[in-house]
Amino acid sequence: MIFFTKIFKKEFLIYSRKSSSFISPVVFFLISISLYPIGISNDPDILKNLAPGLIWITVLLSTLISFQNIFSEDYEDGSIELLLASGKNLSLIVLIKIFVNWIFSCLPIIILSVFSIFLLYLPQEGLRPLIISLLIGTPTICLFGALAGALSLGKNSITGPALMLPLSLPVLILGTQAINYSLNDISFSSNILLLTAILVFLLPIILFASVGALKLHFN
Amino acid sequence: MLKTANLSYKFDDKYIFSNLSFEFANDSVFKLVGDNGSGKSTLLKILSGIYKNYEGDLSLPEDDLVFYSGHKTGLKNNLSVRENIHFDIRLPKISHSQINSVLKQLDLLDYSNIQSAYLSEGQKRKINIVSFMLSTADLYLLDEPFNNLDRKTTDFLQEIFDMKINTGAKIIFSSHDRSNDDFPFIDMNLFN
Repeated sequence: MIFFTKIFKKEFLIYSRKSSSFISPVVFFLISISLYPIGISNDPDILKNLAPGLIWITVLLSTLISFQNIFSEDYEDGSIELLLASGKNLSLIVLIKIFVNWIFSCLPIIILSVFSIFLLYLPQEGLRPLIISLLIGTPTICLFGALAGALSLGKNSITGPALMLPLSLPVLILGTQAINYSLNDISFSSNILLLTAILVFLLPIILFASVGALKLHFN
Repeated sequence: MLKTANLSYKFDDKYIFSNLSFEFANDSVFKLVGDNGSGKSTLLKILSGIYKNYEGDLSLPEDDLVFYSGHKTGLKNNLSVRENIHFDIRLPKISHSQINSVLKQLDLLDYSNIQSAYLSEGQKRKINIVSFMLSTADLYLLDEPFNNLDRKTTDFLQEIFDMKINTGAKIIFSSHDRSNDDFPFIDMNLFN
């Protein structure tokens, strides 16, 4: 347990000192949702209808920025070799890395998504499903990001997003749909349950696959 | 007891080394010598568990704690020297006074709060020596530990070797240096 606490504290400290890890996604998110009213339309009715999709797509793209490099620094500085040599449970280590990355890259965006009420005229009743769907959906996107990051280590920077984006489509659809259902007075709980089921089902599989992908680079 | 039998490693259909058999039972230190590309680092990575796709047999003592130090230091650029040591996953929980004491011996105390990004390669190697000193492992696998070190640090590292051996630990390290010393060695060139 001490070992994994040490890993968590170390990762937390590294990310907290690496301002780009949380500032870049946040700035990208804020700039994007500020530009939509200028680029698409400033008509509240048009923006209100497009808001759920626009927010979710922007969150997805913001997450891409931080996740394609989740393992690259560790690979280059030799940390992954030390982790492999430690003989500890790599799945748990990868889970800690994903969790810390989520705290720094996704949590600020989820909090800032409240601004979409003002910028994209999202009705207040859409805020609750937006926050809940992002809280449950973004960890799944992070898992896909970690897998893509592990598979694309040492390859060009387009390989990660090319792997991650198609996998994230079901989450994007369910998240957007949850907000739309709420705006049309339809219960969105089934979407949230499905998002939760996807997360719970994929968590062990993707952790296992990510560890396998990391080991592949050393064999 | 560490033992290999007909150990071979292939990369891109070409054997880096083949049919390597040795026992590491009675000696405390083993030195791997050989030319560049002869497989010294590869063998250390196999022994540490990083590379698994070898051919042949390898048996390691089950309960032995292994400390591996490769060419790459594993240091995080945005952590200070002290933080890098404190969070080194190869080390048990260590007090600040212990870290200070070792940093002082290696003339690194003044750099303890400086981020490792600002250190020279030699200073980064010294931080790895600090971890080596503080480790309580039973088996040490060190990849060219004497590289990038000045004379004083080289002598100091030699003393640490003796200190570790006296505590019952075993060391396998690689080196280009073929000078006569008392260490038993394996010439990796013979297995290419």
